[in-house]
Amino acid sequence: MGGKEVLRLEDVSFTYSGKKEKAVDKTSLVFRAGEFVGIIGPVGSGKTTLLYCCNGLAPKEIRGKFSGRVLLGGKDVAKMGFPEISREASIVFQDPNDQIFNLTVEEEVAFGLLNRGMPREEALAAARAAVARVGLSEKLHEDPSELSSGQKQKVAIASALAADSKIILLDEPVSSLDWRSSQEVYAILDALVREGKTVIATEQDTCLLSRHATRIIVIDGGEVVKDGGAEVLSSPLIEKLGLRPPMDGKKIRCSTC
Amino acid sequence: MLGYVKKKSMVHALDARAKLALLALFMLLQIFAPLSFAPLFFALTLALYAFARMDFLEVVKGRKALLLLPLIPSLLRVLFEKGTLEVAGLLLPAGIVKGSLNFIFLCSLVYTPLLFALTTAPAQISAALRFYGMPKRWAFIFSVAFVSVAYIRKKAERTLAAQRARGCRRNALALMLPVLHSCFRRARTMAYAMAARGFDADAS
Repeated sequence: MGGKEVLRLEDVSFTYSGKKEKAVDKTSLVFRAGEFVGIIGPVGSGKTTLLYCCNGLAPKEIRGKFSGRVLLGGKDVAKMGFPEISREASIVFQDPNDQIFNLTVEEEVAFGLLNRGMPREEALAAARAAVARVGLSEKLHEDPSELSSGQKQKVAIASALAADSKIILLDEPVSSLDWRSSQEVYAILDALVREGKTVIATEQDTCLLSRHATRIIVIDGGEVVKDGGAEVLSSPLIEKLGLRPPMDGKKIRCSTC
Repeated sequence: MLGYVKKKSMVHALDARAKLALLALFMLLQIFAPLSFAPLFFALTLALYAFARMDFLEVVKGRKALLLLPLIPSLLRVLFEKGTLEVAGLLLPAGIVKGSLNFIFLCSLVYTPLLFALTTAPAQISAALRFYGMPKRWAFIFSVAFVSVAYIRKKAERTLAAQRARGCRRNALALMLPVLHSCFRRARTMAYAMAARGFDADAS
């Protein structure tokens, strides 16, 4: 728990416009450098919205009623622009098809850097390095929309890597991937944590989290109901919320164990 | 519909900037040449398809709606052009002669740019447009549009397959609604993804 504080949420609440129920309700959390945080909860519990609050997408882009304060690197997100926010936190969406819109892998990964005003050659060099890290160098000049789901997700992660931000937010990053691709994605995330980055991932797969996450946050109805180590995954609360506990140590092992 | 078809041919291998310049020249020549030259340009278009190793008839069959572009104005000409014309010693209605030539002329005009789109990767088209001075903002809009066209096509195919599997007959409205809904949802998430990576539409 000794890492430097990188993200703080103070009494954050968010209600989507046109909705009555709060998607995130009075949530206060502190995230530190080098943490691998797994956010778990039933479908519709507010996991994704919490991620959107972390990097200011809610309420800057997503309309709704917001209260509380989010501090990224000590600065209030409300007073930061997205180019500045992206230096602190990058986000990978659940479906990579929704975030890929450039015509080559190289351009896609360099997109955020070019928006920051980085010289084109420098941005492309950083993009090439990030693409190499996720093992897709041979696809550099290919159309990302033609890649497999696993490769697309890696391109989305490479975009976050190229941004070199301190925090990587991921929304169910392996929900549409096969076992091998899931393992590869989590190996990349492990390496980032070893470098001191903070990884915050929403996830339904408790087996993957039990093997990789150093901290588990359980959310239900927009509220944090449990925050602790990987042992949280084996608590009765997990089954009570309709989630599957990890199957490690049992005779029957699930596909990701 | 307009997607790039990967193949090995001399047309595919040609630099996109050169292809774009040649296409513009070819189109201008067609537009300013007399209508009687239309068969010659159409023959050249067919030759280009052959060089690109693309089956012209298959391309037309796969994009039937595109055929309406040359067909409708040509039919109007057939119906409304009056008088007769002598062709190879035969006296023929002017509407038929001019309508046919018009159809051939418009076919060349439609299917030559299509060949360019079919034989050039979108990234190369975007780079060529930027080379000829297209503003970065417009080149970006082009790239998003191209990616979106491919997405809409895939989504429509999947929706149609899902509907057929449930015994639904071909119904434009039943197809359009889920596809549109999906496109709006994707556009929204794409906007979030752009914003999160610092994209400022006004600055670019």
